Amino acid sequence: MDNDPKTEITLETFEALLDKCGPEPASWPGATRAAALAFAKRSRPAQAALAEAKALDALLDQAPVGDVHGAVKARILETAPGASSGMTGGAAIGARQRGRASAPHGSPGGVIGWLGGFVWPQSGWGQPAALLAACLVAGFYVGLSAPGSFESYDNYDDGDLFAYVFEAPSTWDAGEVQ
Amino acid sequence: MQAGSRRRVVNRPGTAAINDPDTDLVAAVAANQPGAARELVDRHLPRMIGLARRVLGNQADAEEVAQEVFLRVWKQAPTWQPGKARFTTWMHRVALNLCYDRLRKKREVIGEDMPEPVDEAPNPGEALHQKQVAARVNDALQMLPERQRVAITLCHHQGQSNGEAAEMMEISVEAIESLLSRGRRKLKELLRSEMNDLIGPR
Repeated sequence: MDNDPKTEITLETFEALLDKCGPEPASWPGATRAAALAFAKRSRPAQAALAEAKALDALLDQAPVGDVHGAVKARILETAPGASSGMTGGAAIGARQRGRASAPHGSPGGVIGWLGGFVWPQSGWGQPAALLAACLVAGFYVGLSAPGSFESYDNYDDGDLFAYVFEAPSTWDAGEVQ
Repeated sequence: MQAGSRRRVVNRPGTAAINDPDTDLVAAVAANQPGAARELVDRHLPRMIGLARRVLGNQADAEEVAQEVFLRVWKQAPTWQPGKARFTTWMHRVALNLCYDRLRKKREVIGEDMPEPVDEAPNPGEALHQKQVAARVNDALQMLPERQRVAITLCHHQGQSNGEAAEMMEISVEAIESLLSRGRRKLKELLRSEMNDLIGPR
């Protein structure tokens, strides 16, 4: 078999075989397997190459490809057909987005979503946004109605106040807006 | 790891009838049979997360991709037609495309000079030798070009044959063997000292 030019093995072709298919003979093409094994038996450099390929495989075996946490599995099963939640389509996508609730290690938005998930476990962004808007309106109202709020305003020239609110800080005159 | 699950049979696309072990299970999922979805998730989730984690470099993104894949599985199951491709091949293609989309979007935001994602290193306090080696190997894998990393992950860590991996990546067997060759040669360079610890210097 070794004499067949199609299956003739040299150190170069043996190393190429190891790079393409790895060190396990079972993964080598059947047409060259026997010739490659025979070559490895009689060639010291081939044995060294084989040992090196096996060492690389052993190293790769030590690198984990990731764990599966129960939380992600549960989130996926929530979206499955016939799941008890009955979620499909849009609801399923919402559940996916809320999936970050158990993994707050993403973007800041993910963290906010995660916190929101505790307060509004069945909602998206609508309710937190509405509450934020309500807080802003309430704060504005309290600010307007607080006693003495306008005393300092009365001391300002309208132009100064406009400049204070709308112009860049570099244009402020600290002496005037006091 | 997962050495026991490896199937090292060389399989060229189109040379054999497709024998898909998932066919019945996918039909059961489509029929809402109790436990079918859970069994399908148990069977494939670790590989989906493992592949996505290797491509994207972090667990959170990998889990999101896995969730996306299964949403598509639930949608696809009722109309799945066995015989054209194995279901797991289709799932891997979906996962890879989702990963590539995410990488493309990140590059658009950050720019083409974005470095390859670095895998999460273990806590330095856990200075066990095995963890250090694992971290070193992960770093080396992350230094490979994306497609070489995918090829190594599919063929080595997931035990796919070259032919199966080629189908999953939608490339020829010759192309995947080229990716594997270049990937393995680069890894040997990067991990020379660790390999010498195992076999002694050449």
